[in-house]
Amino acid sequence: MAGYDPDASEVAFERMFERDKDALRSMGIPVETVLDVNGDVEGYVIRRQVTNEELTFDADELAVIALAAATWQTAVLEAPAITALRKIESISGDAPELRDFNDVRMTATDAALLPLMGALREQRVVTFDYRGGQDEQPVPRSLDPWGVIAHDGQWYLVGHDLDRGERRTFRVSRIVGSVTVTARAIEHPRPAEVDLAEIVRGVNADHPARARVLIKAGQGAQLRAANDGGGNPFHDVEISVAAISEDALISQLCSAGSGVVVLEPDAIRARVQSALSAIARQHGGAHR
Amino acid sequence: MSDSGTRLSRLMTMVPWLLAHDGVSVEEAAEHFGISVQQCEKDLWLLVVCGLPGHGPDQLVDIQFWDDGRIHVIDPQTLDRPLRLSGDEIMSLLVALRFLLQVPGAHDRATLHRVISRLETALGAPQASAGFAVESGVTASVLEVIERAIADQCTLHIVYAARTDDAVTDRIVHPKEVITTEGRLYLSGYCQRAEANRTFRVDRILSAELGEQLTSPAQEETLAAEPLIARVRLARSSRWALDVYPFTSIQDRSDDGFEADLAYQDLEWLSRVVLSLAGEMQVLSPEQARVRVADAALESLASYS
Repeated sequence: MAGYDPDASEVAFERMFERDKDALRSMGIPVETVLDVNGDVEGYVIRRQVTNEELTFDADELAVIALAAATWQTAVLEAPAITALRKIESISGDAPELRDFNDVRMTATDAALLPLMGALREQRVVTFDYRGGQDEQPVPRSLDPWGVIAHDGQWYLVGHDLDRGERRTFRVSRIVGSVTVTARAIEHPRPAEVDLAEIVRGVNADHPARARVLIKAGQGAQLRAANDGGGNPFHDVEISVAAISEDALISQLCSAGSGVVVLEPDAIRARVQSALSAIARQHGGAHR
Repeated sequence: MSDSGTRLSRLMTMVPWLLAHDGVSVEEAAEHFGISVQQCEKDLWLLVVCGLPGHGPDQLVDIQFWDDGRIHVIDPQTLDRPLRLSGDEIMSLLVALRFLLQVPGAHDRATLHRVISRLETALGAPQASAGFAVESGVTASVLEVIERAIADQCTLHIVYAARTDDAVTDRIVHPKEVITTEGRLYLSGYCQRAEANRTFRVDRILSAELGEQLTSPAQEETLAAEPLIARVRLARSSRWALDVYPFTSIQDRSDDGFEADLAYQDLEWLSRVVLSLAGEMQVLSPEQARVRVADAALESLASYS
C-alpha cells in the first residue's frame, strides 16, 4: 500500500494502520469494520455519505457559533472549534462578521484536554502520570472519568480512581506527559446525585474535617462562601465549617485571621492556636 | 489531533469553501482559514496532486490559482462536500456555547439554546459532553441586575465578599462593563466606598440591587499600581503553593524547602496567604510585610486568650 514501508514488520504495519484509522475517525470520517461470517475482521470501509447535510443554520445561529469558536483563542480547543465552524459554513454559508459582543476569552492550554474530551465521549478508562501537590515524583493513576470542569482559571478532572477505589479530583495542569485513553469501558459511571461543579468549587456537605466556629460581623467572607453562605454577612454567626482534610481546614481557619474564632473541637482549636503562634514567632512578633 | 491531522482536516474543508467562493484571492483564503499565505499556497499545491488511484490527469483535483492569485476549482473530484463534524469539533463548540449562556452580551439566549440542542443531537452523547464545562460560579440573578444597571446607567448596590481582606462589604458602584477573561467574570466601575475605579469578581458578589439613575458620566480610569515583591521561604511539604501563587526566582534549598519572590499588590492579601499556609511560609523581606504578618497572627491569637 502506498505510504507504508514495504519492508516493515507485520507488527509495525498493524501499528501504522491502527494510527491512521484513529486519525481518520478523529477527523470525522467514520471507518466501519466489516466482519466475515465467523465474526473475524475482514476489512474496513469508508462510506461515501460522510457529511452533516442536516446541520444547516440561519444567520443568527451562525453568529453564535462563530462567537463560540472565537472564545477559544490560543487554546488547544481552538483548532477543532475553527474547523467545525468552517465545515458548518461550507453548508450554511459564511457566518456574519462578529461585532457588538463582549470579548469573551477562555483558556485551555493543557494538551491533556483533547484526549480527556474523547475519553468522556466514549466512556473509556484513562491512565496518566500525576504529580500531586505533595509528590516529588509523578505517580501513575487510572481513572473512570466523570467530567472535566474549568473553575477559577483552572481545569479539574473528576472521576472514580481505580487504584484508590473512590472519587478523586485532579488538576489537569499537574498531569505529567500524555493521557492514554484505553480500550476499556468505564465501570463506575458518575452517580446521578454528584454535582461536578459543586465538587470543584469545594462546596460539599460530606467533607470529613469539621469545626464549630464564630465568624464576626462582616468578616470571614471565604469561610461563609464555602459553607452555604454563613447567614447574614453583617452579623456575628456561629456555624459548622467543613473541609476536605484537617490540614485544609486549619489552612482556611488560619487564613480567616481575627475574623474567626474556633470553638470546638479542642484539637482543631489547639492546632490553629499553635500555627498562629508559630507564624507570629517566625515573623518576629512578641510571643505571649 | 496531530499537526498533519489538523492540516488534512483543513485541506478537506477547503475545497467546498473554495467552490462556494469562486475567484477568491489566496490572501483572503489564508485569512479565512487562519493560516499564512505561504501555507495556503503549500496547501493548494498539495491539493492539486491529490486524487483517486490511477492518478491520471482526469483523476486529480484541479485548482487554478497561479495566474492572478485568484482561486478557481475546476475539478473537485470527490472533495466537493465537507466532512462530517468530528466529536472533538462538536464538543469544542458545545463547551463554548454553554459558557456563553452564563455571560452577558448581545447574543440571544434562545438562539444559543437552539444551536446547543442541535449540536447535542449531532454528537449523539449529550450526557458525556455536559461533563466537560467551564463553570463561571456566577449567580444568574446577580448577573441580570448588573446587566440591567449597565444598560440603564444606574448605580448598583452590591454586597461583596473580597478575597484580599476576607471582609464582606456594602458598596455602591457606578458600573462600567463586565469583562470575561480565562473563564472568570469581572465587573469594573467606580466604587463610592473606595473613591476610585475598582474591579470586582462577579462570582464573589453575594447580592446586587439596582440603585438610582446616574447623571454624571463614568469616572476617569486609574492605572493599576506596579506589583510589589516579597522574598519568602516555603516548606517542602507546601510545594503545591508554587503552582497557585505568582512566584518567580524560585530556588530549591533541598531540606530547607524553597526560597522565592512573590508578587503582591496589597499587604492584606500577602498576609492572608502567609496565614493560610499555617506556618509553612515565612516572609524574609520587606520589613513592612514581615511586621504586617506578625501583627495579623497576634491579632488572631488575641481572640483565644
